[in-house]
Amino acid sequence: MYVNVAARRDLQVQAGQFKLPFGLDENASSTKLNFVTRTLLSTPLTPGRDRGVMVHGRLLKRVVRYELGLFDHDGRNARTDNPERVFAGRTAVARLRAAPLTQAKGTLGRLAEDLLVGFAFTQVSVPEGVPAVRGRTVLDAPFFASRYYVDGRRLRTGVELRWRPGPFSVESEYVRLATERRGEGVEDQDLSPLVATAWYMAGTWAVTGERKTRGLDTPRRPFLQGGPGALELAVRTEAIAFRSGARGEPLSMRPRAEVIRGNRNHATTAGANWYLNRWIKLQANIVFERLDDAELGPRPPMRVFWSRLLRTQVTL
Amino acid sequence: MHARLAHWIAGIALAGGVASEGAWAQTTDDLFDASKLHEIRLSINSRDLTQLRAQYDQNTFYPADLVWRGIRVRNVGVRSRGFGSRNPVKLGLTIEMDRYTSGQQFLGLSSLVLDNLWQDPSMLRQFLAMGFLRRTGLAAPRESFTRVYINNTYQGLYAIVEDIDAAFVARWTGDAEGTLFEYHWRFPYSGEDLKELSAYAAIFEPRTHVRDPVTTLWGPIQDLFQSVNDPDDATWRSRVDRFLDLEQFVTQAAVENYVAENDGLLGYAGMDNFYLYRPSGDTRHRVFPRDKDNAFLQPDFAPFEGVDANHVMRRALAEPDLRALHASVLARCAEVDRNEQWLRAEVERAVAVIRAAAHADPLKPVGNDQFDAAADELRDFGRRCSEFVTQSMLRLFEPQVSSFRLPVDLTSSGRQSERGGNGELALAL
Repeated sequence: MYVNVAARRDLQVQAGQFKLPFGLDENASSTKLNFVTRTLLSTPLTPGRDRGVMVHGRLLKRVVRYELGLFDHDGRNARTDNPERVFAGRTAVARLRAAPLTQAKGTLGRLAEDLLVGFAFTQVSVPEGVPAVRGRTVLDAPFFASRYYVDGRRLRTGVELRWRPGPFSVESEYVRLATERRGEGVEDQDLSPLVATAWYMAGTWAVTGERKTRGLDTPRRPFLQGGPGALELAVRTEAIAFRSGARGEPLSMRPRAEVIRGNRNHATTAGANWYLNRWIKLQANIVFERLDDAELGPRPPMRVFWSRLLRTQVTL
Repeated sequence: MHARLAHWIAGIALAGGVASEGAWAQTTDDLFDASKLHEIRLSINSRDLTQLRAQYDQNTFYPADLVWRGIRVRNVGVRSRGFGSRNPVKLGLTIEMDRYTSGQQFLGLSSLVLDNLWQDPSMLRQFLAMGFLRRTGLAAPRESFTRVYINNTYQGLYAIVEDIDAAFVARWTGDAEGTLFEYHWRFPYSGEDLKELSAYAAIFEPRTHVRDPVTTLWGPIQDLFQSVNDPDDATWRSRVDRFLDLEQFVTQAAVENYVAENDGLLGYAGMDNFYLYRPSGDTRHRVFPRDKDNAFLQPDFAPFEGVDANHVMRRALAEPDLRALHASVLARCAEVDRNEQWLRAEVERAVAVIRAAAHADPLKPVGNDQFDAAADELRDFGRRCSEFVTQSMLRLFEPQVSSFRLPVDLTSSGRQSERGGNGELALAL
């Protein structure tokens, strides 16, 4: 629940409970997802919703979009296992996105008017405790536990890209989340930060020819009305990794290890989206996941997981 | 040019060799060398140390680094330990080397106990009791003494105690694949048939094969105590022998009786302070001793103390050969003390090693005078105990007994065999 006051196009104020402006996939509506699940990086590394205030707007003839916000905490996604614990303190967020070719003319303009590139960061002070950043597979099974103590600044940086020429779309993101461990060594010394990095690259193709920028949820020829609906094929490859900043020592799972026993998950998803009409959407995905350290995974020594997902979406 | 380069290379190699020799040449024999006072330094995050002291009654592990003779073991797990000795002032500590780093060992050990010597003013009782058990050829943890520093602050004199784990069992039995149980005192238990598997699960905690099914883990233990309580005297021996090495049990109970251990197999509140081990592919259990802080209670400790209350020992000593074995072990213990002055010599050696560190121990619950007095008491304990036991045995057996076959190794003159003894010795009272 939030209120947005749009006094001017270049200066708007939004206040209430809403998603922090960080993460392309995380900020997409759940009805607009190209896959059954969000990306591996969305939930663990992006903040999600929280209470705060944000100024935002568009500048330079809508070429540049900015969002600056201040929030109570680090977002719902950063909750620890212990519901009594707060999830970090006041969080500052900044996001800057640009559509550099939105004013271009001719073929270039037609092809690239939707090209969007962006950069975002969040900064927050995390109290002493576990980091509340956990690695989970596509089906939410843990492969990296949140057992390492942190204390200090948490910095997220993200880079995003989206391009939707005609019936195609390409999306990509890279997120890095680093959390300091001040005074967390066994001799009260600072430890190297805990670092989580993730990226994905996804592409779609509307086989039935709809333009992606207009959305496929209103098919040109709906199903049972003389047409097949809108059919879209999608593929995504992504990875998320957890490690410590330092290297060179044996890996350890102790909460105060300088070099932690991290893990990495690499997933590839292929799928199809069938928009029957403006109300009904069917999605089918097949997911292949591979863990670097199977012993930390949900079913050791199983390293590779195949998943099949189906989703029916009804929108009124 | 080449000669100069070779000279430098040789110099560097030599320096490297010297620097690392101290670390790599060490073994557990060095760690448990009781002729030297050791020094162990632990680094624990100050927040964890505060938490460890505040919650000393819990078994929560905290990460730490351990340093001994220049060897730093990183990422070990440390927790509070002990029952009566557990306190927040002078922490008793269990150290697990592989708690956070899979497979990590320290001199081949995956765990270690730092006994805070809290309940024993002499700080020697357990060391002496375990030494005496090993002297008799029984399996018992090795011990040495150490100054312990936590975050560079002297915590006092501790005993380094070999943990009873799979490596310990393998060293003494040659079998590393069996199931080891740590007995936990929950109520006075003297070997009754507890009927339910869950009742045995509550007091016998598996330390190996922890994921085995319930019936696999505790079924044979239930069978053991069902057999022990079988009313048929005629078949009792053969039935129990399938589940318990009775000779080993009786021998250990006898030695514990000799060292006036009132909190062991035949303890005043039922059985306590032991491990139970079941070899792989076998149902015949045996026992290992632990925590002997209460040994050497009094020199005139009755050699049959606790026998009648214990269901295993009462029935076992009804068997003539086991009764003879019990008596022979007691008599031989007395002989060792009488002939070798074993206890007095051990006390003298140990006091010479620890006295300064014990006096400087800032956290011990007794004063230095009490420490000295308690050590003095032990000096004379062996002679008095030997006389008392000998007289007791003579009174009991003189008319009937002239010799026994002794299935424990008391033949060596003070050096224990590494694997424990299995020799036999004719004993004449």
